[in-house]
Amino acid sequence: MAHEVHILGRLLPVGSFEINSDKLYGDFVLLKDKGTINSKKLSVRTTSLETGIQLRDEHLHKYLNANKHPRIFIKDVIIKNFKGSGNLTINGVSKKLSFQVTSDKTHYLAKFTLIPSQFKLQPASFMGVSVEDNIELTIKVLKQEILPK
Amino acid sequence: MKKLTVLLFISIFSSSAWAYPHFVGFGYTSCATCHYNPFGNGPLNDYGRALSATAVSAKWFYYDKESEENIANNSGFFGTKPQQTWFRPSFDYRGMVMKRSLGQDSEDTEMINMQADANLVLKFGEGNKFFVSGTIGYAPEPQSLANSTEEVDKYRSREHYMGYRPIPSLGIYAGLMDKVFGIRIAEHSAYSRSINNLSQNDQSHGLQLHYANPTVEIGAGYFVGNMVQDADIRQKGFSTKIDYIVSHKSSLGVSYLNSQSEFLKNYAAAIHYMGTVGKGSSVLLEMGQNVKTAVLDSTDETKTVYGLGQNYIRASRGFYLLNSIEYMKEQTGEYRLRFGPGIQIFPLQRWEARFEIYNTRNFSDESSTKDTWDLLMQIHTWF
Repeated sequence: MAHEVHILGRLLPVGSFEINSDKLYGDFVLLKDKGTINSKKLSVRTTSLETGIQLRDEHLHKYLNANKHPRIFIKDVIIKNFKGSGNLTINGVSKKLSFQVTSDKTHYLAKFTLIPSQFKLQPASFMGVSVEDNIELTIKVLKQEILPK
Repeated sequence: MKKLTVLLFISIFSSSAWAYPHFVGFGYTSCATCHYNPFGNGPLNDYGRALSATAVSAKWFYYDKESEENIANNSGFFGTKPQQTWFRPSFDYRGMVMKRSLGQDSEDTEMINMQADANLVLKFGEGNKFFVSGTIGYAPEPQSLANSTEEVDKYRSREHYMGYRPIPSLGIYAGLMDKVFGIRIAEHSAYSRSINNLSQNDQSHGLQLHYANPTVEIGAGYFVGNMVQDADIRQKGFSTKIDYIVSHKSSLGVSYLNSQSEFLKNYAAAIHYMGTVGKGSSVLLEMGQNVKTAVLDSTDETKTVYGLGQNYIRASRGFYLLNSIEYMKEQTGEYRLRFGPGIQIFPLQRWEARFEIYNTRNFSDESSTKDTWDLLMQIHTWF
């Protein structure tokens, strides 16, 4: 089973849309002696991200330069006491992130806000409606996939 | 009697153009994304036309390899890609064949041209912050009046207003517009609209504000009635609607309207919900109350409560199953129930067909009427 990515984007002047993929792959290990969860690399194929509308999917994949950068990934993830960090790479640009982790019955959730232009992504606009340079990204990690070391 | 029946049917079943709040099923909680009028109805903007062509309409009549980009680019006026940003004409036609009282002795069939509108939107300024919109509608004479000496205006302004959005979240609009209230569903004479005087020809001159942020959308309007009407029957007042965006897939709202003419006070309040159910499918709910009171005799009061439920199931791209149920109850205890399933098809962009069957029943403390079944077939096209 794979983990999930959910992205919430805001439209200007009004509206929003969601980008989803349930094809986030990567191994997690629980280091019991240190009480931390580690992952060397979590990655999602850029073209697996979907918005529910085919044209918008095509625009999204083009916007993310999927041909040149077919994967979005986060490396060196360390989670301890529900605080995490990692290096996120989008469009070939890496940024170190810190985030809070929450939990539900089946998943750990990491939610953070991203500024797409910081990843050298050009402003997105179509037919007079544009996307805010501020998106919310949520990563959902299946608890049962976290293996003790 | 026949005249009354025909008019009643026109009012029950005809739909106004381009107001489809059930596209909340695609995550669009606000009408402002796709319409020039931020509360819906009236012409689609470029984004709305492209969305209609690519997300709403089927691809049955395109080659498999026809790109979505090309389909979107051809969604402009008469299938063209706009070459400039400021001039947006459009036409809209809706016709209907209806079979009344199916299976009864009084069963009959009639064809009605419900709507034929021409609209022009002109946009100005940096980022098209200013625009004006005007719609002239041809109002065909009902067959029932063909032999009548009564004068019927064949053309009327459906709307004419100017808008200004100084910042993306805020818009100011002035002119002849629909009043802000409730869910602006396509069936303009659904109880939720007809009871509250929000039907096809109930636009009013006035001023409206629209504000939206990611968690709330607020509309408010002050209106003075339609200036074409006689002054003494113009309803003057205000209305407001506030939607809380529960998630980007659903919203919960309240509406309030208070107006008065020289003869009649009109008050309405409602709550509503719009939500996504699965990919492209949706549920719309509205419940409200309307009170009409005679100005000269406050004991002459009519209270009506109503409920509306609609759900649209996206079976495939361009193909929807729809179910509608409506309820209204007057203070006399009489109430009406109307429900029915239907199919809505967008076979290719700019074309819509609807097939619906309605069951209507009237109830009172003493009796209930026999079920009546009516079949409605609509064709809608816009260019």
